[in-house]
Amino acid sequence: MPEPAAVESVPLGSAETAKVLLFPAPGTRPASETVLLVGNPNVGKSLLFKNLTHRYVNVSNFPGTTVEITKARATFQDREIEVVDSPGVNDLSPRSDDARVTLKLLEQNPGATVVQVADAKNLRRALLLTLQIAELGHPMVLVLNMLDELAARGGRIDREKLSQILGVPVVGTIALKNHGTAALIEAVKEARPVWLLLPEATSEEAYEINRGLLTRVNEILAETYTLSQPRRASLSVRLGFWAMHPLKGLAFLLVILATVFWFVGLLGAGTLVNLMETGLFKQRITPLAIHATDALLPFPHTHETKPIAFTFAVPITPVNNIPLGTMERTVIVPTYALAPGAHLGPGAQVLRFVHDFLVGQYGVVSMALSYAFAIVLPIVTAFFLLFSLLEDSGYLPRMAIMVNRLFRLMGLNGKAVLPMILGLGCDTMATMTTRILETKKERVVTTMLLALAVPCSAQLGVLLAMMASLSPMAAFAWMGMMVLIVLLVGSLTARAFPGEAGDFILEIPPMRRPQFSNIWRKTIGRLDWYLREVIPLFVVGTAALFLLDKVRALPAIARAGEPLVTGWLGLPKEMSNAFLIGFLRRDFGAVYILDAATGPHPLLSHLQIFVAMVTITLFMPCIANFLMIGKEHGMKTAWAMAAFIFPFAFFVGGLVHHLGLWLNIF
Amino acid sequence: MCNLNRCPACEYEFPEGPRKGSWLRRLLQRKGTTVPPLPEEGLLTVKTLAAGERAEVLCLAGDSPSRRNHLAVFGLVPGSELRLLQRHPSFVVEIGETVLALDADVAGDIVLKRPAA
Repeated sequence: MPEPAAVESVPLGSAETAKVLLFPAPGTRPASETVLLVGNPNVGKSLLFKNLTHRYVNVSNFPGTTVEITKARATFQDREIEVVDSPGVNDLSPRSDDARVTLKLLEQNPGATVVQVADAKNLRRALLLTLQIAELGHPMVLVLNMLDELAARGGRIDREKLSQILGVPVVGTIALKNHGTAALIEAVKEARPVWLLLPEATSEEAYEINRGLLTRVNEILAETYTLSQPRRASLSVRLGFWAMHPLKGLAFLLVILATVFWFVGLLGAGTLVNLMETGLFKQRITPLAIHATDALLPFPHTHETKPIAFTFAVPITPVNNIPLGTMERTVIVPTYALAPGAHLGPGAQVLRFVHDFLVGQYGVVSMALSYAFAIVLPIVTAFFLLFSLLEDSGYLPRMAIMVNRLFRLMGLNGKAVLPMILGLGCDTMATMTTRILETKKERVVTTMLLALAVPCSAQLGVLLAMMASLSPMAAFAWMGMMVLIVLLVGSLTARAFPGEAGDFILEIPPMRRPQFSNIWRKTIGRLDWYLREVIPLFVVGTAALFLLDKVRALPAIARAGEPLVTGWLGLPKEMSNAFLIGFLRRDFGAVYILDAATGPHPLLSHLQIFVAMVTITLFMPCIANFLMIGKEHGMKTAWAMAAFIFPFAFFVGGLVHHLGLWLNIF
Repeated sequence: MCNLNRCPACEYEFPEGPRKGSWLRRLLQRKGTTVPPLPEEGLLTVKTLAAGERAEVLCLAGDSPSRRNHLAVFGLVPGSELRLLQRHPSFVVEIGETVLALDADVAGDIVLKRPAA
């Protein structure tokens, strides 16, 4: 790190002293090859990153922590530069993961050029950060982004003056329209360390230091920043207030939830999954794979053939839709019979083993890949699209406000709504998102509630189909039960867990028109993470199922669970198998249960369907979720949660069963 | 031990409130805090401000320095001016161009004074 050539104490008039940091003049330092983007949250850093590097986010983990930084190479006027995007921070005190990572990034790259991206309207907070970064001595460029919003607000910043005061180039940009990027690239060459009088800190405490810095910031602002017009109540501002209003905000929330339900639950889990699973996999990919495997690994057997049809329809409600067309093909399926009288030598046995591994009942292609790509991917994509839209519009913090009081009952605060909503898409990703919560207690309680009662979109698909065969009353009863369980278990767990919930202090950004390019970029980023982190876990689960099946352990485990399933839950004994498989391969268990409930020969009474619904929802969603809990909180916690969740699910299911019989409902 | 209540952030001294509770209550009190609680009447905080009003921040009470810093980085420090936008379902304040949502606990610890008219 470049040491200041001299540090002098300069007396000011009011018995305060100031530090003067004198760094070597530019030109005596080699041109840097790394550019670090830093700045407050919500200033458009990632957009600027994309403008500079033309790359979508390439998420990676900072070694030793779980905060994401993104890096990419770019060419600035014939020079190869590595651009690093850091998480948004409001200050550099080590209170939060984001700040620690950013500080470390700065310390480990002493020669790097720091490009601080600021929201031009919020110059005060940006300058606070500037002064904190200034102490580290990096050559800097200050970017004032969102100039259009500043102009709309009637504000003006004297960039020349600001540049003079700070001693660094100040560039204006509108990242959304890619204005100013060229000027920024020019300015990077002129980057210099901040040269400024800083107040001597009276204590080591971050609060005191920041208070001191803020007085200096206010002085700078007084000389450079003017705001002339009062805020005009544009539509987005008014919308922003409605979304936080006690009544209008509630209506807003319900509309959003209904949209999520339709888009993800009906369009995604219904139409798209059907298209991928039946139209793509069952009708085309799996038969192709079977043919290829049979050609490469021959042993005497014949596969059955079955006609498979799928109908493409636009959904309106869970039971009504507009069919657009049906396609039927007769194709070969994974089930097969050995040729009569055939005797397989050891070579053929090996071939058969590999064949089954690939395209058998639990085969990699027939099950693992079809599960991952045909069932989960469409649902998760639909969800991420909608979620990214909500995120880009700035609605999510307002949602947190609406539910904060409710969440306080559970010992959490409104911020936990983010992972909970994400859990409706994928519980595994939501468990990872609990990192945004401040205290360990909140993270663990939220993880527990996600695994217990928030059905992920794939689970929702099954549940919706089952609900369709019951009355609407049953659907409400189910929802009511889940909400009650969440509140009860949440508040009890929160009380038992030591510690406090974090403070609810949440910045509310202005509502903006969501930009399609942003939504697309965020969706791709999340999908990319999903494909790389979760899909492999599904493959592991399928392999486990495959092995269990081969050693004939599956039937044994299912048989062991039968008394519980038949006696306590009152379900037919086949369901025991379905529950077990459902954990490892949810779609297979789901098909089993669905067939029993709603297929051509329904095996389940209405009460039994309801019991199955409740039990499935309360089960830990899938093995990927279990492993993610292990990754985030340690395997001990994961096992402890499983040890609570499974018995609890069976307990409640049985309670519902016996209560239903006793009260003679359904 | 002195009877005065003193704000740890800016050393503003509050007038002494009436002694509450019997010795039994104090004996059975859960934990002693290093910071005396704020007197309940007569103090203007974000919690007691009306929606739409402006006020100047006098000090940030409470015994959590990390919370004080959390507020400070948004510009919420003694001397800054804020406006209360709404009280339900959460308190929402506006400081400069930043809008912050707070819950009741935090709101009750931000001590204010009316701006000079």
